[in-house]
Amino acid sequence: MSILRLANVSYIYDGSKKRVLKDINVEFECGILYGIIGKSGAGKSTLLSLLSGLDKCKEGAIIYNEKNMNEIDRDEYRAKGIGVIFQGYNLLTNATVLDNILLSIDISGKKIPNKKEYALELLEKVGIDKEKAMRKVLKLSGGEQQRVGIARALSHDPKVIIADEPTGNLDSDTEANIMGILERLAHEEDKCVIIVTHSKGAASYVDELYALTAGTLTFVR
Amino acid sequence: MYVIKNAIKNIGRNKGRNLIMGMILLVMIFTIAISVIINTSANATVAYYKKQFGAEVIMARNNEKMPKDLNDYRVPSFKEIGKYADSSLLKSSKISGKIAAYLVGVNTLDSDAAGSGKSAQSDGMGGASSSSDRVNSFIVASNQPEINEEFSKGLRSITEGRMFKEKNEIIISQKLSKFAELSIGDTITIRVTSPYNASDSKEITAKISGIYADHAPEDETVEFQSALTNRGNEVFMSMETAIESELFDSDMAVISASFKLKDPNDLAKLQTEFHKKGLPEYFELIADTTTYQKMVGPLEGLSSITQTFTAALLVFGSIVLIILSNIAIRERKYEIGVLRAIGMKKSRVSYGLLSEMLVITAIALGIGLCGASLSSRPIANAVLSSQVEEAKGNGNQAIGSQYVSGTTTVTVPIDEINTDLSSEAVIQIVLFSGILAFVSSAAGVLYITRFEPMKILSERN
Repeated sequence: MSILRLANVSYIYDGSKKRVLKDINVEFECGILYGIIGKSGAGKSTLLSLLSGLDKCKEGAIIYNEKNMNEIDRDEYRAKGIGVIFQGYNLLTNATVLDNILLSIDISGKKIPNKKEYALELLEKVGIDKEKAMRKVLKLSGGEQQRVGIARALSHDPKVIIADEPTGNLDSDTEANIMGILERLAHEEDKCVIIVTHSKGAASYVDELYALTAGTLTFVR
Repeated sequence: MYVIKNAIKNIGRNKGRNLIMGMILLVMIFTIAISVIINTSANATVAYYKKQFGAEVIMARNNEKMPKDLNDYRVPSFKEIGKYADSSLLKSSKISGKIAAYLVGVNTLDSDAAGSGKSAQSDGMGGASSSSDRVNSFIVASNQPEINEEFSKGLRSITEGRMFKEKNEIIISQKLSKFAELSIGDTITIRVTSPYNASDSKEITAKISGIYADHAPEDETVEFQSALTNRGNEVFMSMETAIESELFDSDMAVISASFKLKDPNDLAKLQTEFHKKGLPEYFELIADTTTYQKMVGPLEGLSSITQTFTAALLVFGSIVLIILSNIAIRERKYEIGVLRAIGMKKSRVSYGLLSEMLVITAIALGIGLCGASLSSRPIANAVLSSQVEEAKGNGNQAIGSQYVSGTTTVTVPIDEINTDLSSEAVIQIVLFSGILAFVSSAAGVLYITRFEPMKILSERN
């Protein structure tokens, strides 16, 4: 059963006549690592914005957990329903790594008895030790920041993880490492993981691959 | 709760920016606090003096309302004033009268001295030309048991017997008692004769209930002592006795009266009541505004200065804080974009920004209040002294054509103010600080919440 479904989704930016997304129909299920590839300007970012609830679907419907996303609170959806891993990490740079995770837990409203311990365990899982957890985000490398982004996306235990170019700025070793984490999340923790990527290497890890070409989504494998 | 926790952490995360904001707030709150403390203290002092002077009322003649035929002019009698004073609007009244009289058969002090027994016309107080109409004493009557300030301040005191209590009781001086061989229980006949008609006289036989000692130093400036100028011959009686005996019904009686209102705002009501009871229209009731103005005028000036200063500071401070807050919030645009992207609601983001500003304001408020309470007094007195100088330069304010009866007191403007950090001042300062915190954070909130998280983040990326 799908956790996230796009039904006849099209998108036109205000003041533009060009359809960025054209009649997209796709279903995403838990336990599968999905990949979406496409060239620049193909509409990947727009699709991600819609999936992550940062933008509103104007034509068609995005159904999350059998509910139309236009009818639910998008802030709640972002806080509780999904975890987003941003290409540019989008972490609070003046806060510590740990505070980034704790704040995400607080925003989601998830009740966890020992939040600090839970957050440290989560960071440990993605390869950030306790000492690094106490550092300010800007003191970490790009790969480490991306891991923190993954930990934050997982902090409130969402069913859907959406990742925008999760390995875009990373070397091949780190890419393999990050993709390994995402693969485990899908297969071992039964998450629905959707990644948007340019990287052929990253695309090789996914279970199902889709291509976005001029606003049209097609199944590759 | 986490919003407040994060707000507090954020203050530490952005030390530099918050320190600048805090310093600016501190300076503003400090100056506002000083203004408010001075203003509330000045207002409280003004209110106190207003109550004091506004409540003290005297009768004054308004020359503009005088009757055309001066024969119609009359001064209210002792009895009439006593009737006026019987009013529910009054807290108390002080009525006293003095008239020259003849103590029949009493050998008064200095009665054989030159100038003794002058006629009413010549001494202005009473008396007549024939030997039977001679005056040898002053009778003083009052509605107050302490009679006048001399008794309440101890210049005269009862040494034998007691103060008059019953009707037709009097007290005499120790000197007269010895000189005229009078003692407690003896009776004296007191006679007041009209200066215009020797056959028109009033008489009373009064019993001595007490003897008083006069502790006032001898007045060496008096060249020729007479029975009338010798304080030892003064006889005191109650107002009730004076009214019943009609001794004071003569035009020669000098009567002074002052009234204390329960509520200073009832002056007009009391005047209407007095006029209804028979007070001639050319007499009006007035509060002692000259003294009041002279004393509290500088304070009112100080209060007005601080009010203007506070208002100007609030406006100026708000503008500065709005500008600063806008600059600061632009720096935080990304942070807010991240918070919104991970699901924090606009209301919580706003609440967080407001909480941060409130915490900074609370710290600035604490320091500002302490500093202001310590330094408000010297600042207030420095500003007040310039106001006092200005008031001295302006001189007294004249009442116009009114003639005020009563005693003259020397009035000195209030040149020192006790600036207490009252609860009223604290409430006002907290309120003003709250306004500053709200204005500065509201400007930032309004600016930042116009943007959607996607826009903020894409701009950065």
